[in-house]
Amino acid sequence: MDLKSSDLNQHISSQFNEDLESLRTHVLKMAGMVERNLRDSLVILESMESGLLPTIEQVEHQINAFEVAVDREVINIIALRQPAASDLRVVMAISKIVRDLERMGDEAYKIGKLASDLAGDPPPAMALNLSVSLGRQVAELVKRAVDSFVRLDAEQAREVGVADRSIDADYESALRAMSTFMIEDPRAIGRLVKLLWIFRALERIGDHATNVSEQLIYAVRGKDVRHADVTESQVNDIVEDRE
Amino acid sequence: MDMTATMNDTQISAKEPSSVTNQTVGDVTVENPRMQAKNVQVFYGDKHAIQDVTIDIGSNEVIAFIGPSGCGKSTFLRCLNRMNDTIDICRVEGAITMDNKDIYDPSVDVVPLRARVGMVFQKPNPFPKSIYDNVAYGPRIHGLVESKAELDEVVEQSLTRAGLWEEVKDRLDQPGTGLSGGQQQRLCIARAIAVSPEVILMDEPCSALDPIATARIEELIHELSDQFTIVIVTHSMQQAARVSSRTAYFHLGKLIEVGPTKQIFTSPQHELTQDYITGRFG
Repeated sequence: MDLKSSDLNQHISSQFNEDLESLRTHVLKMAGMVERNLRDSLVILESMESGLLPTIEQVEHQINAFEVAVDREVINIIALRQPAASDLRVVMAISKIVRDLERMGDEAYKIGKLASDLAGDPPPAMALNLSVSLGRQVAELVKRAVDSFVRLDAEQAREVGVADRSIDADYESALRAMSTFMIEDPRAIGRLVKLLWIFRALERIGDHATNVSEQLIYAVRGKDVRHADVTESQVNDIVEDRE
Repeated sequence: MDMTATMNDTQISAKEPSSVTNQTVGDVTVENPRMQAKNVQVFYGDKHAIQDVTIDIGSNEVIAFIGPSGCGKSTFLRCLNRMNDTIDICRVEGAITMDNKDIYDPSVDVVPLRARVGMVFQKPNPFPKSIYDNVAYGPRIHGLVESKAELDEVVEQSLTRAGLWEEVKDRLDQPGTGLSGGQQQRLCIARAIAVSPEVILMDEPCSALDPIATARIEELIHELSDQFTIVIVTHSMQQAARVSSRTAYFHLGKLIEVGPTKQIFTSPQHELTQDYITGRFG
């Protein structure tokens, strides 16, 4: 049966309620920092002003610390509370979600750094605009993934996966556009390669946001929706050690 | 055991939301049933203790019955070898069959039935006899052996199967009551399997034991499941998770949900099952 927000704080053990609540709060804080770093990196990209980079760097360290801290909380809950059913699903999902959040943080930092490098010597405006536009889409996707986690909304989480497919398509067409720009102006190749890395980082953030939403669906519904090409019988064969 | 006492102190904490329905969630049938219960009702006087429970017990499976105090899991367990016959005010309706024969049919003799469906209780209850005689008792009264040598063999086999032989082989003539709690419980399991039952019912077999003795019994349950069908009632959900392949959740006399243990403990379908196994009952 589906998990609801109210389910997290209705255990007989108030300590367990507090443990889960604290875990959830920390994940939300961490997600907030990732969103903020992505937003700030996109500001650098759009304005070609690198002033925010030191702040981004600082927040990035905090994000890393949160990953380690949340992992520790997860281990403690498993060891001391032996969570089952929806509790187990939430805890396991969170342990995977923080990994994706941390990776998103890394990519956001990478974007900030590359954009700062470009600030002194900006790439062609048309190419830059493409990256800013993809950046906005990705930031919106991340916001929706985090939102679905806040509300434990599996339906919204499912839409994140769908929206990521259009981001992937835009990424592909941006790559094609970039090769055109390179052919048109070979002197800009160095800057355009940096911009390519930014596109790549944005596309990866979209994938991580999708992973987060897939984990959320697992936590809420108990259904593993990863990898459309994997069948139930394939999984069972591996679990049961059948050839 | 006085069942009326157990029934009286029940249901203090259990809630009765609208979600307690008559419909059991999950598949109550199995491909290869050893016993089948159909629409079983149990009454203690006016009290309707078990309401319309239908479930198959599969061959060589370990099935765990879980649920809050007073949910009827022990009562239902006791129906499976007519242990409730000993309680005057208890009345059982519906059908419980073993090999397609109703075990409540008037022609059924409960003595051989209880040899086929053995039982291990919460508190180890060895007879005030020697270790040897505790195990030899069943085969003797059921006339399963013809010679002393044969009986010796059954005793050794049963104690070995129960993982106790190495610890007691040099003191078989000493009283069973002199063993440690965990050893006594394994002696009771040896006594139960000495008559080659098909089904072993276990009513909270580890609740009086320490974690090490509990782990030994759980390992034993796992080993015995290749030969016997085991039905275990336990208050420890983690024990149910560890030893059983199927789990049945009872609530206020109804069978709420049945399913593979792995599914019940990761994605239970019914709200009440979820509340119970995640510790949300209040």
